[in-house]
Amino acid sequence: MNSYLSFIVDLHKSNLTMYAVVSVVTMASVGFILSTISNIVLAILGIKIEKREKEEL
Amino acid sequence: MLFPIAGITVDPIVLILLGFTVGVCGGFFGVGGAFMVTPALNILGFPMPYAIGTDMAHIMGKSLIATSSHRKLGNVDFKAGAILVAGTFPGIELGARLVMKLEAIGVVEPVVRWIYVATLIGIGILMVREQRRIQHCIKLCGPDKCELNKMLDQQRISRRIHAIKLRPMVKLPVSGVEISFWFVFLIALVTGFVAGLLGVGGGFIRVPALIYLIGMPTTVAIGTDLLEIFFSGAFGTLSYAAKGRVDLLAALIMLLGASLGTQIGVIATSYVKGYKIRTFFASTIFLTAVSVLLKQFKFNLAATILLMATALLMSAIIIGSMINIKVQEKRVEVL
Repeated sequence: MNSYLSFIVDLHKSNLTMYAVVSVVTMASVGFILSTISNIVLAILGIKIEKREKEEL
Repeated sequence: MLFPIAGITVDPIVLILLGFTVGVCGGFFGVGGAFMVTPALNILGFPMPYAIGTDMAHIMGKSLIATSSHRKLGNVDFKAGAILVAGTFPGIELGARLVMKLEAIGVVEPVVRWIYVATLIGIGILMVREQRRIQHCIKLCGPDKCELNKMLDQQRISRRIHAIKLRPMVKLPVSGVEISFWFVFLIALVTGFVAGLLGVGGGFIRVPALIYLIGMPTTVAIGTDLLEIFFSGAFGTLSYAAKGRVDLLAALIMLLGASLGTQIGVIATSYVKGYKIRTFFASTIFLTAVSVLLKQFKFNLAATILLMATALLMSAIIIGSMINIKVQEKRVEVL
């Protein structure tokens, strides 16, 4: 973790184009992983996300 | 904890809490809630361009979580989404370049703050007026007639726009409309510009525009907007990070809190009726505007306390209402 953080900080100083690409890839990957984990947790807990019967005012 | 990219020290617990509370509100109301994050990061000490860029990165990660949950609830018009994405990219870049120009001449902080105050107060007033109108209508005609009136209101403006045959015309089968390409593109360009300038997803402008101007059904507008926010967030992150104005570490920490908060907010939509607490949401918007004003006039501590208390209170109301309804349902089941 620490080495990844120092990699990011170094990249921010040395190559902003690569930093931009790494930022997008990191956020997309972490978002995807967290989304998958939370969906699994919800499934284990038996919580369903249901559609509202009628559109609200 | 030191955030070396933005060059400031902030307690990471505060960032997790911020991500969580904004996630709850965003998941519940179907908007990103990013309009609270940029001011909050700025109030916590992030320079405005870093606050905007970091919020963009946070939006992108969070939209993946929200979309995966909301796709179970709504629909997505991929054709409209593709046109929106095409228009949003140049809009975001224009907004980001304006921020860089404002930063270069040393006025970015006050200018963006005042734009935030004006935008938040404007949206808050519109929400309160809409809420009062609906309550008045329900009292006079009942909820079913009000629903019909609201649908007719939405169709009145969009029908006029549909009648303008400016080529090329595009058919959007999921939304059930045929409209000039340029209207959809223009909406995307304008909302993209606002997103790039304020570091928001732009859903609070785009969703009403898609409903009232394009004539999309509400569920399709929300689903399509969430898809569009992922791409606009990705482009915004790319644009701001290439300018060195994204603190990736702060965005990741906020995303941890947001992942839990967003799921709770989305689950709450199955239990709590949104219109009942939409007035509280409008209050949240007004109080965020007050926090930005306090920051502008250098009352930093008061601004931080007010903003965090507001976000926590709104989340507590949503979670509390959900638990209350769940307990009542259990009691009915037992009886």
